Amino acid sequence: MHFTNQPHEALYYQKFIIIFLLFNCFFCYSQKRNFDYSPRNNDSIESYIKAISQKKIQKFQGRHQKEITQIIEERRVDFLKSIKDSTYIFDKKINSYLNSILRQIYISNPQIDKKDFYFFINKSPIPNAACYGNGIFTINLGLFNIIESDDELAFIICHEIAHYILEHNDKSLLGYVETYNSKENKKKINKASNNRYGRRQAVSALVKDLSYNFLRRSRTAETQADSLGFVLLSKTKFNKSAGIKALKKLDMSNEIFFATDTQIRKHFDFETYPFKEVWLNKDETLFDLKEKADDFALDKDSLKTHPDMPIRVKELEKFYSTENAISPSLDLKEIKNIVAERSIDIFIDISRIDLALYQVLTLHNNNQIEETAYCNTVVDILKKTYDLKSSHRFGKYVSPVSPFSDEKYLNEVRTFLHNIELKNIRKIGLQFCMKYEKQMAQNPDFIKTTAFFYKLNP
Amino acid sequence: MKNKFLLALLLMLTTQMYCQTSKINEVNTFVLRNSGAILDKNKDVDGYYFFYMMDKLKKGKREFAIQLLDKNLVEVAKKTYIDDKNTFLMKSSFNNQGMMFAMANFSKEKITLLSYDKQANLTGTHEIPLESKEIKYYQLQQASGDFNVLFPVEDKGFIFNKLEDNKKIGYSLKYYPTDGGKAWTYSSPEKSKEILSINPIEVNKDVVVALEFSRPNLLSRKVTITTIVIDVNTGKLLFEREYSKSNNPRLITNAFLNNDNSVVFMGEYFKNGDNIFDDRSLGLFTEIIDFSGKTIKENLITWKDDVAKLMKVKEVSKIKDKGYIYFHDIVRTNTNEYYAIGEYYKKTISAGGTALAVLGAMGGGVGNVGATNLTITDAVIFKFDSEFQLKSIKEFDKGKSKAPSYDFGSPQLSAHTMSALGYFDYEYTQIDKQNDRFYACFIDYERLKGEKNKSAFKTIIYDEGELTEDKIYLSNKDKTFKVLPGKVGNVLLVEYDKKKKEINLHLEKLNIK
Repeated sequence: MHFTNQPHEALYYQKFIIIFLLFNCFFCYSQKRNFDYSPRNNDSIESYIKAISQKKIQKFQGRHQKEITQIIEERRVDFLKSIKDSTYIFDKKINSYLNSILRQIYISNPQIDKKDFYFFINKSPIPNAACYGNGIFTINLGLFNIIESDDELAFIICHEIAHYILEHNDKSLLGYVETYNSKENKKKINKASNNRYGRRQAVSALVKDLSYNFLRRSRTAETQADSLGFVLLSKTKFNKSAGIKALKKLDMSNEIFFATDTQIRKHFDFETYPFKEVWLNKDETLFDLKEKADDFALDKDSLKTHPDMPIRVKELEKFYSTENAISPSLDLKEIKNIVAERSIDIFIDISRIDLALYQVLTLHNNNQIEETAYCNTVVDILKKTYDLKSSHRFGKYVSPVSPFSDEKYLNEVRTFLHNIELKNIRKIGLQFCMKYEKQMAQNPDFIKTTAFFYKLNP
Repeated sequence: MKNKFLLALLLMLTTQMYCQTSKINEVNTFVLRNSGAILDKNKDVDGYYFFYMMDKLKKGKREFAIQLLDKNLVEVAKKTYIDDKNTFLMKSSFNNQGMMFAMANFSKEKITLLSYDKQANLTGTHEIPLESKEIKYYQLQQASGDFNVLFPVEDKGFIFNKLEDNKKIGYSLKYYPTDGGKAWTYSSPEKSKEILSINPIEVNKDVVVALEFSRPNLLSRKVTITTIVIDVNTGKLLFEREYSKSNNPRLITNAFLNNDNSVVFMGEYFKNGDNIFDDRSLGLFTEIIDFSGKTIKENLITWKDDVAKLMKVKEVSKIKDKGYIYFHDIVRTNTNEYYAIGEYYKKTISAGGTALAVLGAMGGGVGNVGATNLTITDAVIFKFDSEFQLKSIKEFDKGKSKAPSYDFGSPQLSAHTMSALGYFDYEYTQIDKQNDRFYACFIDYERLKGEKNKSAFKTIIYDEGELTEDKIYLSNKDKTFKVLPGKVGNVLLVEYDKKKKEINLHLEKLNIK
């Protein structure tokens, strides 16, 4: 993995949690709609990516040009592949909303050279945004789930633009290539690699040392991007305290994600087929540990790419200490609605039915989903689970439960889905269909799935 | 079961983000020495281990890593271990209170036992020196398959099965408690004129049941089996029962401990004077013996009368059009019904083998080496009630497979040899006590008319009194699959994508239709 292939990950912090924040979503999930995964102007996007890559290559004339050209080319190919692999969504409403925020930032900051800018929307539910340093920026769909105002999104975008202005990606790329090509480091690498004895230990120490230097630079870059991002935001009419609020919220992310009880028993408890507690039985583990016992791990704290959030908040508070109450705009409400609504479909499309089930149950518990959509989604999930298990492919898509995971309620959903057997799904599916058969009598999708479960229960 | 985990995954230290240069990558590409599933006596998987060589140290030492995945394939520990260069992980075991690893180094003539507690801390090492003769026998026993060198006693300790260089080769069972109990050793007589080996087959909080095999020399087929029951808390012998050629010859397939301090032995019985490996059995038996060694009850099922009521028995133990049955396991359900799991086999003449034999003979060779095959066909399950009365026999279609066979004389002896070498299609039987189920797993070489031959992993599942089948095909257009044991009711699928050249591991539930 190349360090510079990793975009600066603004406002996303190490822990790789897939999240949903639903408690502030005042919306109603209504009907299924699909996102568009292919750009209408595919050729022009390809040309654009080619042009910005060439421009970047030309910028690095001179030493290490060969290595740098290779890295930039690899990144270009990877990015085009990710578009083809449906990583990005192309949605008019989201783009229009994003452009409205960008317009305000550009008007207030005319010095920003935006002619190479292109913002892509990544379908990932991880709350994240990234600057690729060549004009490409990405905003993850999951970010819309946690922001509560246009101002917060504006700060995040300003932070990413600051990375571009400060040329952090370029410096990082050059730093990486120079580090590994420096005579001193080459000598150290050769020495460690040629050690007859204790090579791994020597190389580990060297890697640790080099990593620390890279990451120290990365942390400095984050703080710089916060500062310049704040300056860019200050010039707009957006609320300046939004940055602090966004950072604080992200700092809390580990505790608040998947913290909503899905009340799974209630959804799958039927008079003639009661919920079985064994469906939630957890597996015994080899060890009683809170984290992996790894004698070979490097010091985790020294390997964080981003400085601790409280430090960043403290730095921002030097500029602006008041935290005003901010409410979401009507546009953002609508976007959050669209995102929550369509995330279920994305999860079902990629067979992440654990995430889809978690979301549909919590939305239903909060009366944020229409009964029709709830019924159709649940029976779809049950049918898909049945099909995947029948063909021995379920475990390929739904993660096992990790003993170290603190995603309590998502894990409960996963445990349930892993533990139920075909004979259970047949009965649960039929009971669920029978329960809602009357009120869904006019719904052709539901009627079709009901017929499927009736057939399984002759 | 072939307890070999055929994955050769070369994992990198994932935390090292910046190992960019080829030199650093090269150094960090660790060599996988061996790997496997951590199984309990019911063939339930507690986890998986991978044993890597990490670093070359001075004075012939090496740094190794023991990587442990839990039963859901989540990496839970990676422990460092330094030992001599030829060390390999012989066996790993889990007893709910901790783990024990047997690290063998035959060139340094030792086995080191490592104990880890539930916090994955090393709590003890026991170095066991070996004699060269003992090493030779360890190697032979390991090559022959299922040899219990390390046996877990749930919530109590571990039993290490040590071979002893006595007058002839003998054994000692060494018990290492993990519950604060007392360590003990149970040894075979030092001056025995027979080669003695032992295989613990069943254990509970009170006793260990083991089978002792005694033979005059290594190649002798004159085997005497003695069942031995030892107090697990003290190591004292409670009783032993000998089944010799002249006195009630019996081939014991399995044993079960009852709650009333008795043990049930099951298998095939023979007439006095018969050899249990060479000759045809008279039928199947159960024998219940209390802890004083007294037989409480015995049931015999004869081929001639009992089996013949349900199948066409052509001659003793031979079924018309099918051949003989090799029983791999006998399972007892929670309702005390018994299921004997077997496969049909017969000895057939190999055309190619005959030609080779003729050529061999013409060239001065001896005998008909390679002239016969063992042809293995359908799976078969005998159901017995709690009184061990034969209730039904069910056959499960399975494609024909052939095991190349040296001509050992009797088909029975060939079958025993082929079973030890893993040539039968049978893989293993996993028992789910909680749900009162068992999963008997086979490889099925499907031969369908007009279609390409296909291999499948076929499981016969017992659930709620019914036997059903599940099947996983081992290849399709783009992928090949290897099926390995998984946590109870599951299998581990190792999926290889031929186009992408990617390996994907996932656990899948076996389906009860």
